[in-house]
Amino acid sequence: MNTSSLSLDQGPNISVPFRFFYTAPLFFIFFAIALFFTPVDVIELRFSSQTVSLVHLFTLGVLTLIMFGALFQMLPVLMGVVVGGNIVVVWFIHLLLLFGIPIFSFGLYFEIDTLMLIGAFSIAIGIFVFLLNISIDVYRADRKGKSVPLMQVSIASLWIVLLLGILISLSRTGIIELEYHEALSNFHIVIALFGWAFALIVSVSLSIVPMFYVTPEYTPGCRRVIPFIIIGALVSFAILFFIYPSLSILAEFVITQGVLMYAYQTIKRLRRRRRKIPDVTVSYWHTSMITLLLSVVFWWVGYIEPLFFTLSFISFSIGFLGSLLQGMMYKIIPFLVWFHLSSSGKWDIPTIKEIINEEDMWVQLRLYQLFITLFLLSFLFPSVKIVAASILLVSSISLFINVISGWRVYSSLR
Amino acid sequence: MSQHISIYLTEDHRHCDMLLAQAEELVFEKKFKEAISAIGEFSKAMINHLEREELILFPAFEERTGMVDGPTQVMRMEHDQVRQLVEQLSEAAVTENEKKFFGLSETLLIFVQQHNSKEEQMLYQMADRHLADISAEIVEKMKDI
Repeated sequence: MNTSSLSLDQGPNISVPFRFFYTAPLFFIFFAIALFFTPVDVIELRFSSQTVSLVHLFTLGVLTLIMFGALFQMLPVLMGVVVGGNIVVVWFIHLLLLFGIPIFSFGLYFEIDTLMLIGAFSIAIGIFVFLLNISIDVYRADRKGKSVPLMQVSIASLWIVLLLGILISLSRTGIIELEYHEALSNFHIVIALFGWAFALIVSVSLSIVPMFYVTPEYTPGCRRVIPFIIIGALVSFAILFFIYPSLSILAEFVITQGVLMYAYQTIKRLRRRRRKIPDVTVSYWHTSMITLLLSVVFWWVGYIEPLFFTLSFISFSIGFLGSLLQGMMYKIIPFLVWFHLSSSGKWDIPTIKEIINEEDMWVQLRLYQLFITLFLLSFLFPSVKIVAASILLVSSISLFINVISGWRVYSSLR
Repeated sequence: MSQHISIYLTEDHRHCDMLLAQAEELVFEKKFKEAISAIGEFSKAMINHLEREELILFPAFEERTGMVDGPTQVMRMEHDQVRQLVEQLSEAAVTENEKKFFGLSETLLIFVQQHNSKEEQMLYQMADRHLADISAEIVEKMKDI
């Protein structure tokens, strides 16, 4: 247990999470533009350079940036782990990602290997420094904490994702020869989505759903079983994938059980929440859980019609992860602004609900929900994709404006 | 049988959360009379909780560990912020200022949750360890408030 975390400020400087939060919507905007110009039949080719580029623009530029920002803010509160104390290190990590992600995506999209490698190198160092910065403390944390075991799985997974990402980049550009390039790419995707992202989200959910929405706690059984299933599924997947690839469907079945149990338990809690007042972030959670369940259905339908594997991936990453992380930003940013202003002794300050305009957040949510629906439909009706991308562009600009409005409130009053 | 300080105070946190949620629901339904009474109940429970910590737990913890300017001091400062918010919330309920009320209730809830999380994850665990031999006595004293 790290008792030093109860120091005066407890959390990092406000600029630490904020720099990740206000740059993530910019990548959302780039993603929307790239999506606009990429035909649906190209996106369906999962290993086409353009698809891989789009995937990384979203998973690194949007998801990972928000996750890093949220981790810097939440680790001290959820696990007693002090991170983000050294602003120069955070600035360095952020800059490397900010430089690397667009160059990597651009290089991939237009198949310019040198650019892709420079970008990959920059991203790899950024993630490496991030991991180095937090790993020791995360593994030292008391495992009795609700969020700790899965957080440790998540961080271990990110190490694996990083290593595989480097190998795949080197292989893709012909610098090294990987015999199992495609198999490793698939493994990279699974560990990134389930090991890094899903485990992290579940880990954080176990603490924050009951806290923020005053719901019944996840039962101790549930808190033990869900991590057990996720860890078991990841380990069995890793073993089966390389030794008996044809049996890896068994691990997929186990992962499905973990996903279903998490979604069911979370929806149940959100429905039983004591706070009945309308809250845009609750709607983000609902959107997230519905698309998570859809992604499971799509996955198994994919064995009949392979197009549904793509839909499952989209529903999981853009639907489940994208919605949940945007909702989380809307919960964290107003609190951060209020907390930092209030802690500096200012009392004539807006309440949390007045920091980002609520109407604007609702509009942005509706736009995002519409985008998800239209984007999924565009695989059946390709002409819809242009409309979907345009709506995403408006939604992303709106997200950016909303996030920045939080920062402007802070800047004007500090 | 000794009683864990952490269990007692964590349950007290949940009790306060429930009372605040009930008051919010009443304001949402525009039942201001009942809401004012519910806010009164919540304020009492919350202030009692803060006093249980400040008058009983923190002094015992500080005496046993020698950590006077450490975590307990940070928690005391946050308690002052909680008191101020509770006061403003009561005012908003009395003046039937719904918008202000929900702004303050959200602020209070989120602030209290992060505060509670730090106490439950760290401070109470430390208190359970350092004050194990007198935990039953401490819990009894806290119940008297």
